[in-house]
Amino acid sequence: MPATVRGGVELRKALKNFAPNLGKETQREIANALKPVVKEAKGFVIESPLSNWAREGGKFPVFNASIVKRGIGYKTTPSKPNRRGFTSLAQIRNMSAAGAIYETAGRRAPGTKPSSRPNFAEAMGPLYGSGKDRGRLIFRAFENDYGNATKAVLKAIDNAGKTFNATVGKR
Amino acid sequence: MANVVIDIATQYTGNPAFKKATNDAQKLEKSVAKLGKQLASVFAVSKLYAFGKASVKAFAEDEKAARSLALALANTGNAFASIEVEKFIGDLQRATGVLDDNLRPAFRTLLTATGDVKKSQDGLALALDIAAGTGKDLSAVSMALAKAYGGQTTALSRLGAGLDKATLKTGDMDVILGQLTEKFQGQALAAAEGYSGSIAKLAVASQNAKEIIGKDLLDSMRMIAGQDGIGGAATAMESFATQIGNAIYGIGVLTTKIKSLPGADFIGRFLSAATQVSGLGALSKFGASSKAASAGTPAQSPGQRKAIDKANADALKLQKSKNSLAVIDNANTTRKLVLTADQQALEELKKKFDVERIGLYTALNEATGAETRARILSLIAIHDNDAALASKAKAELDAAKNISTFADSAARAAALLLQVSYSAGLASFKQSEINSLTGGNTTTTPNPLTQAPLPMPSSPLESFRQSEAKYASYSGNSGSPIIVNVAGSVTTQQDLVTAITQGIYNNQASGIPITYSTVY
Repeated sequence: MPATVRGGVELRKALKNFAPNLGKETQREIANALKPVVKEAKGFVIESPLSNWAREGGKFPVFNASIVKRGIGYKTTPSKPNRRGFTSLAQIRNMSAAGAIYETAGRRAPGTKPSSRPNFAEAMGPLYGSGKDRGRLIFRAFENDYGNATKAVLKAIDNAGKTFNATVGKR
Repeated sequence: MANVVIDIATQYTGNPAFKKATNDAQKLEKSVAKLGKQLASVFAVSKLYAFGKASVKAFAEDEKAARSLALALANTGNAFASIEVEKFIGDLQRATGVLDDNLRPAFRTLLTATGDVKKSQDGLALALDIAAGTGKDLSAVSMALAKAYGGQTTALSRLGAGLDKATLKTGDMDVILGQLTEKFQGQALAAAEGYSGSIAKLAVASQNAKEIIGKDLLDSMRMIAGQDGIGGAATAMESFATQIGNAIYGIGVLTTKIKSLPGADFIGRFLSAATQVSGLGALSKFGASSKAASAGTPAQSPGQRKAIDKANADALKLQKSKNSLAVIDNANTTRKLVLTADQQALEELKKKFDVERIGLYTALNEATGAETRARILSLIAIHDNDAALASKAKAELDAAKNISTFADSAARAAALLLQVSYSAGLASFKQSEINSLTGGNTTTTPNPLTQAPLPMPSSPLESFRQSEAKYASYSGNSGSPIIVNVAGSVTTQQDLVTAITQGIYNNQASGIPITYSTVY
């Protein structure tokens, strides 16, 4: 469950317009907080989860470890609002198709659609996390982080707000 | 696209779907409100118009019925009871909820049959009770009663009033009316006291309101029409139309007459200007525009309309393209003008530092002869590509050439004359010497010029050439004096004399012994 803040988007805009250096510094701090999680998630990518998955052909995405690793990253700029109206201020992402399959295969109960075949999911190992936030790469790394990244991100945003108010807000 | 993300920190910025739905709902609300207002206004206007029309119509019908009743009263000798009858009908209307529009015809029917106001009033009251009791129409009941008063009870028997045939057969109206009164008394009042009666009374009140408003509307129209009333207004309108027609005809006749007058053009222009300046011109323009606007377009099928719309859209698009192209063209023209001006400035500067041109101008300044100047000017014109200067230079060059040719001809003529004079002098000298030696016996050689005249030259130059050739052929001959005749106007006499004199001087300078006395 992500932490919800108030005024984060507005702070980003204000930083961009009135204190660009502080804004860049904040982004750098957020990135530094997310990099360890991303690095660890990339470390969970194995060369071939299934022997036949690396073969070319067909419509199913081919598993390529380097592509999957490249697809794992972070984003420190605000996203578009989702269907429920929430804008993300910082994200850890697994964007490759094969990486997403490897991340989430078996998350839904067998028999419910869409779901992967049990043998396919079991062959890739267990899921880490709880509820919907279960996975084998970024979710596993995020769980291993014990919320340190979240704390660091929130702290960076909070510090940026305070610094902004202390400097630009007093002008 | 795969979208597996972990949101570290989020902020609620509002659901876009909710926002969109809210905006759409607000827009819809505004649209509905706007439409409602428009509909309300249209409805109000149309209803007001319809109500006014209905009011006038109701009053007109009511007045017509009242007049008809009043006439019936007068015809039956009961004119004095007119007010009383109207009051009775009004009271009955309010009490029973039956419109006077129905009461008056029924009362008139009964009055016609009975000829008595009191009987008619009683009969109308009974007819109302029977109508309320049987559910029959008041006019039908009153007609049946009226026929019964006349001795025809068949219609009365068909009302379903429950009268026995024996009673009807007697034709005694007192008995018949007694039975009917006994059966239906109070039915009308009872009916007027229920909900339906209340509604009927409201309907009566509404109808009366309509009639009152309609009366006021007509009164207002009468007031607008003036003393003569509506009829007067109609007459005035017809008269106005006739006068307008006469005026138009008169203008036509006047125009025809004016055309036949001298200076009609000025009068026509004056009238035209006066029409344009005056209010008549403005009214005419307004009328023309209104007529054009009301003419509209002829009926079109959907396909035609679509095609017209497409054609209009295409034309608009084309016009826009043309406009944009015109803008580009203007910009290019402006740029071209700027470039031309720059180019001209550069050319001027280039001319100032053109070595060849400078040299030509220097040569022109230093040139003394007209032909040389013209030639240099031609070179400058060719160098500058200056057509005007080239034509000027060409003209000067031609003039210089002509002068040069003329001078050359004159010089050659002078030289020839000198030679002729020299030959003549020499021959004379030789003859004198021979005469002195021979003792005066002289032989005169016939002059070939006097024997065979020279052919007429075609030009002065040709003349000189012929003369030169002729005298050259005789230059070796010595003998008699030669008379020189120069044809044409080669030069002036003074110039000729000067040239000959100069030739003689030249001979003297050369040591040739010749004097004026020996020559002439």
